[in-house]
Amino acid sequence: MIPTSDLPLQLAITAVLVLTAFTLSFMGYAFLLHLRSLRVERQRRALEDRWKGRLLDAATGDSAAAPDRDSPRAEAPEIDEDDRVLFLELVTKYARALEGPERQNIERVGRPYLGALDPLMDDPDAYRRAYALDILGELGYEEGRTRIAKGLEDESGLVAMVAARALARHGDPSHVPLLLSRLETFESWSANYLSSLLVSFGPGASPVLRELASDPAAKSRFRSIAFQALRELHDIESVEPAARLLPQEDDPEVQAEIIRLIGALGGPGQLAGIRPFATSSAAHVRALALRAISNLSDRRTSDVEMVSAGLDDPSPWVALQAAHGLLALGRSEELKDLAHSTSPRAPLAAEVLESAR
Amino acid sequence: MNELIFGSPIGPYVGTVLWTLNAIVFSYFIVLNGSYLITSVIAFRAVRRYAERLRSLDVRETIAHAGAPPITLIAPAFNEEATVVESVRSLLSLNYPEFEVVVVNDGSKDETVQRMIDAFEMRPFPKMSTFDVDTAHVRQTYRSRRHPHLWLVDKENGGKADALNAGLCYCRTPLFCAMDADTLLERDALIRVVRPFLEESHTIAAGGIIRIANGCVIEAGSVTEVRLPDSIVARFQVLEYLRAFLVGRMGWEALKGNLIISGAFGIFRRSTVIAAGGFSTDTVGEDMELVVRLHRYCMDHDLPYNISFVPDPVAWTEAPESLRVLGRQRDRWQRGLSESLTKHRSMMFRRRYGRIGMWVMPHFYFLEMWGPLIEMIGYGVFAMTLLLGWTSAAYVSAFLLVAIVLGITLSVSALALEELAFRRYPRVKDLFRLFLLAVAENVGYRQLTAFWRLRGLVRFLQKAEGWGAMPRVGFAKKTKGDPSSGGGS
Repeated sequence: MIPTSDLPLQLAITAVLVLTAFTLSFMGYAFLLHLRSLRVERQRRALEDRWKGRLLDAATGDSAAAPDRDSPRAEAPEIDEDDRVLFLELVTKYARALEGPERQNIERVGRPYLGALDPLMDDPDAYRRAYALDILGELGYEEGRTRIAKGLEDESGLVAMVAARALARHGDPSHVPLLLSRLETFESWSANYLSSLLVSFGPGASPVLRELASDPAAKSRFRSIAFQALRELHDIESVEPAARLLPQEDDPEVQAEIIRLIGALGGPGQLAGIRPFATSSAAHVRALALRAISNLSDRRTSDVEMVSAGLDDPSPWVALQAAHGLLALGRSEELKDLAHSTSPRAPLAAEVLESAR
Repeated sequence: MNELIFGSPIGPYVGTVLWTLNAIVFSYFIVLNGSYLITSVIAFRAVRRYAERLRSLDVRETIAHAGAPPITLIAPAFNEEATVVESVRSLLSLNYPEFEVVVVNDGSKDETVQRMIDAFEMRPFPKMSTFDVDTAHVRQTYRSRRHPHLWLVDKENGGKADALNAGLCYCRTPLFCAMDADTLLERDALIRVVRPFLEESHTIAAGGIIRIANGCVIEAGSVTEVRLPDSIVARFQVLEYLRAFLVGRMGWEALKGNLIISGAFGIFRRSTVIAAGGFSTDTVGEDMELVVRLHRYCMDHDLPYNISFVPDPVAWTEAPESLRVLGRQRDRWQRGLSESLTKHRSMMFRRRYGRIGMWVMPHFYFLEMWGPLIEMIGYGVFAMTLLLGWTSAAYVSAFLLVAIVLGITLSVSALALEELAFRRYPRVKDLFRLFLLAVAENVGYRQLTAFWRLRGLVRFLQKAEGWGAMPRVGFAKKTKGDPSSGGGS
């Protein structure tokens, strides 16, 4: 017999009852989620089964599924209002897998239903806004361009990034100034990611990037990202101004990106500015300087000696660049001697020679 | 018996000791389960947000347009002749823009190296080490003729941490993935796990979820159909892994207090790991020790950093199906945890280590490390208290019932999280089986794991070393239509 007047026991019994209620609710919740997921998946699959053939026909321009450009609504397929967002998701999936005219055809199929995204665009939940903007960016860029650009100013960094990527995909450089003015929003994103985002806008973005790169008041991180993007855009025009800036730069990241830019796109004329960095205190700057020197040098003895000295650098990365540099400068014999020696750098020389075979 | 003890001169002392132990066990129970419940609630919110995020941002598309950082997969292999070729083929088929695979043969006594040489046309290829660390002697480095991004480092035996360090020596990419050679990564696992490195430039480490491959249908090194294992021992582990990753890691992730990235699948920034000294070879829990040390290193050097857990990139692993092997594994995990926490216990309650020092480390140290001891003492003390007639059977039963129902609640909440975001077990039958397991594990299995953990703790205190053998069946056998697969039930 349980003494129910006992407080600790009553507490324990209450705890058991409450926890049991929680457990049963979780079980029910999990079960309902399972059923809902099955239903959505079935709905998605049914929709895909129904539309797969017609979407593929539309992509190749064989079907009326792709409505005429001038009167899209007239021949648009009828999709239930409840299914429209799912349908757009499906069309987006296909659009992402295609390019060129096929992709444009697919985009036209989804376009009449883009209105279904409107409520999501203004949803208080940032994830839903991002989701809607992502689809709009894929299927309705032309009509939705202003709306997408406005997404750059969204309070959510995720929505702003989705907007930036949508704009970048279409490579319209007129949006780059706005994007650069919002770079602070993307402060946490990796430099490589941001630079490749900027590169997606194409060579038309170069003038604004040059401005940012040479602006001493801008953050060093953003300037080095701009230099990286300019290099990836093969922007020859930025080399000379960058070479002029190099001696005054203090930040090793900016120095490194300028040296990489000059090393990739510059000429022997810019070498004099790079040579002092072969003895920089930052190992990655030294390594990049040696690589640039071996790329651009006219094989003069002083350059070869400078690169050769890099083999003894305490940083293996500098030594690696030096070994590759010697090979580029035509000093494979020197590397062969090193490879057959007892030097701790012998494996490095052997590796570089083997890679070149 | 009551009179015998309390009538003797030691009677009052026994009473005090029992009372104190009861109080410790009860407090431990409240604090531990309270923290689990709080973590579950936090994890629930985090998983829901994560699922929404996944829906709003296509990870594959993100990578396609981004500067995806190159990754080196470092896979230590010890006596893996049965699985190494299949596993490496699976790694080579991963969907990621730029990666290298470095298999480190850790002094295998079997044909691991020859299998690699034959299958992938490996040829000796010199490579310079870029990490100045002592490892067991490296005999030879090889590169594949057919897959130039596949390397083999053949070295003398030195243990997993030593093999990872050897792999790090030959890693030239900014990120590396520490894994087990027999782990099966899902094709887009790297794309998914690298996301924190893109979104948060200070990210130094990220781990994915480990799931159990036993019972699943595996074709050409990929899990093509997810099913529950036939073995009851492996089934219990499915539930445990879901609880550990979806509730534990996800909850700690939301609190920015992750101390563990599984050794089976974790991505690290090479430069930071090297600056922190690489993997520690004096512990069997080199994965946890490294993460704790990375926290410490970054805070000691005032470096901004982020360590993440990402719940959707999946690594499939083979779980032990015998209690003996499972016991050895849990023993080793507990030793690893105890070694890592004890080695860095000076971080505890020091403000400079922020939330990690002030409450994450104490939580793991007092509740997870010493927990098995307190739990086992609890069983004894309760039995004694009952025998001495100090409490009624009703009290003890009520307490045990609370403990059991709480355990079930936590397991079922993990299942709800799985359904909320990932739903990897599509069959309704499997979901019901998991519900049943959530109840069944509380009788026997839970006590058994507490015992193994206690054994691990005792062996840690005795300074025992070694991993204990972990025999593998190999994934190659578990192919569709193969009666030996065990996946057809």
